[in-house]
Amino acid sequence: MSVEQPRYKLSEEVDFAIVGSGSAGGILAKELSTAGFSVVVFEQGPYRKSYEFTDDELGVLFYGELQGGGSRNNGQTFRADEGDVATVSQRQPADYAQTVGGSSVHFTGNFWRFREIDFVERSALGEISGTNFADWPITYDELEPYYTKVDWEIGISGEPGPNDAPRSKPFPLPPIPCSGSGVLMEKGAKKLGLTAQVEPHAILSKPFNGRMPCMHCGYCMWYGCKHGAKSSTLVSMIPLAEASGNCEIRAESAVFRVETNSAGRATGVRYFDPDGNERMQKAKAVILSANGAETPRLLFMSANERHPDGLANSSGFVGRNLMFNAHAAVNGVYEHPLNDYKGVQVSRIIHDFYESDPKRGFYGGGGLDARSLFSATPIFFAFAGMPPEGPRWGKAFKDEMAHNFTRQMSIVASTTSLPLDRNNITLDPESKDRWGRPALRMTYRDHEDDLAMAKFLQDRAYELHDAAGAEKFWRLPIEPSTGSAHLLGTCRMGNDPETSVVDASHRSHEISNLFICDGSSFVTSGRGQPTMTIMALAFRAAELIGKAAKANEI
Amino acid sequence: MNESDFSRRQFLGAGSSVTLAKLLGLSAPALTAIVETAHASQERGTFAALSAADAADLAAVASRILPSDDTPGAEEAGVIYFMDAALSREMAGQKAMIVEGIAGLNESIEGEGRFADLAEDAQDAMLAEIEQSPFFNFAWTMTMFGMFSIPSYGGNKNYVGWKLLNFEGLQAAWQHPFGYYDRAINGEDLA
Repeated sequence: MSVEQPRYKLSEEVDFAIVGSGSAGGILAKELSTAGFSVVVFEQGPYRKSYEFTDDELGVLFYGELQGGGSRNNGQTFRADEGDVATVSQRQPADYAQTVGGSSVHFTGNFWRFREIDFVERSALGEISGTNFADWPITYDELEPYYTKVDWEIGISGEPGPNDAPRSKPFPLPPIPCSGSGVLMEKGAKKLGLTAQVEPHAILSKPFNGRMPCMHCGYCMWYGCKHGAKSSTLVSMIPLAEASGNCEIRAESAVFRVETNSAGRATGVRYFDPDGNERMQKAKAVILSANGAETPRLLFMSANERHPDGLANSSGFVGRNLMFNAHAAVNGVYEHPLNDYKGVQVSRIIHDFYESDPKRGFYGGGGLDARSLFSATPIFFAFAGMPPEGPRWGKAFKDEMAHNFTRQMSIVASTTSLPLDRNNITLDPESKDRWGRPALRMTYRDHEDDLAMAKFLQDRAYELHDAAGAEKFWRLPIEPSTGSAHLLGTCRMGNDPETSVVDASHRSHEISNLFICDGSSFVTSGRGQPTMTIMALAFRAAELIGKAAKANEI
Repeated sequence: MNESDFSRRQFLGAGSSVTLAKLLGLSAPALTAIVETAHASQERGTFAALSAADAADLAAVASRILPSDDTPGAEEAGVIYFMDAALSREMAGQKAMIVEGIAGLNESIEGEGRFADLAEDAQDAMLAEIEQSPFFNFAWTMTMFGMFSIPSYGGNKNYVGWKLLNFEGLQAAWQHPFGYYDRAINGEDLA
């Protein structure tokens, strides 16, 4: 059922211009185009198909093959505090893919639903001073049908854990078989009285909707799936959007401004086409799904006389409250080979520490997972997988690498992050990206509770390795975050226009035909795996936006 | 202080605060072009970025980082061909620092000869002196890249780097069980 994509004229006012083709944008494009609306999706990266993805570790991890060529081209800068001068670092602070399907192409596929508590935690725990900790304007019950829609539309494998939030339908696909790291985590958990549960994956365990299942090749984290088994929007949503005959994917098209008129409405988007020419696409409504770093950046780049501080920013909340999920890890070497470089990264997780517990003395919750991590590929292993006190070169180093690579696994902790004014996205005053747009500047310093939670979970990970019988295990230093792939909270949703950027239906408080839906919509960070919630929000937003458009209420 | 002094100071500066991250200003190259450079060098036995003498010294450094013994090391992997190709292209920005570093090594030798001509013990002793330097850090990085990247980049010849680790990369598909610990639950009887 191959349908030619429509080619909309620039002068033609399409129903929706969607900026970003990733986890949220891909779903919005599919839902709105199949509902009969004309849609143009703008993606700054190229349109790669599954067969074009490579297992080239140097190209993907170090040369930024899927990330627009990395730091040199994107110019992103980082600083810990607002008083510092931000500098360009080798590893980009905002770690996202530039390719059709966005970061749903290169993410690991770990796929946790939030629980009820995540939406009402401020009410449950009270104020946390110095933070913007708040409840969401929606509850788990309101989002649950859309979590289920994600499960069944994009294809999720797993089985419920003992304390998961209730689900209205079972998983569509059974779990992916357990790897050695999962077996060892189960062993450790049993000894410690903890519960290791099945990791849900946005990766197919069986054929689904005409797509191939996982072949266990091991190239999930940071790589595009050459089998199309990872449930990216590239393979699960974009083909359906294209088949509608109403959706044009405009790749290699970098939006640099959302235009607004004197009536305070969005009129379309201005962008660079693949040849670098400036273009303007007219649209009845604009949806930003560019990710939690790029969306606020675009709102700032769109500042004009009527909106001097950036579009949709009368609250001053655009770019603020950036949240990551802090991490910590413990590496362990075991007696026999696991060969954990084969297969998906994670097959077992522990959610016994999900809830915040006042007895710990700080706010926070999180999850633990067992995964290959550094021992998934050899260059990464050489850089980060070897014990800290051991030799760095020479025969002993070489021998230890050869012994450990197949015998190693990591236990990784992911935590909550608190929303703070000081953690934000702004425009860098000097640095530019390869299109000449002001580069993204990130300012971030973890809240002390986030690091305390990371330390708490790292101690549990240490005990787990011990209980599982690791021959040698060591903590990786917990260092302040200098970037993340989880880009959350920078245009938060809320009922109060004074303290949020979009309302509960993702419409910006300030501009009635400007919608924002991606990680930026988050009010709190969750416990470590945000993509499932981004996708559920996108299905919900698409339904609400579609209804409003049909009722002529945009 | 001229530029050469500065580089020399960097080279000698053990415990330098210049981090690896700051040295790596890499960009996405076209793999096909790298393949051409890397393979042309190997076939001709000549180098694109380095002089033959510098290449011999740098290859000797790589061989002390991952030596050849009962298993292949940097030499058998052709790490120097990776390095030369990279220094002529996506790591061209680091070439001056590497060449300065090699010159620094040779200037530090008492008496005649170049680094490549020294006995392994003497080479190790010299490298131990500079193991915190940007030069050594970058040589180390390129050695890992050349040993373990896909062979198209010029190194990891005959996959010797991957074989060293018992890593069978680039396979399209695997079947459980993968290793010792998942045998019992994936259909293989441990007894």
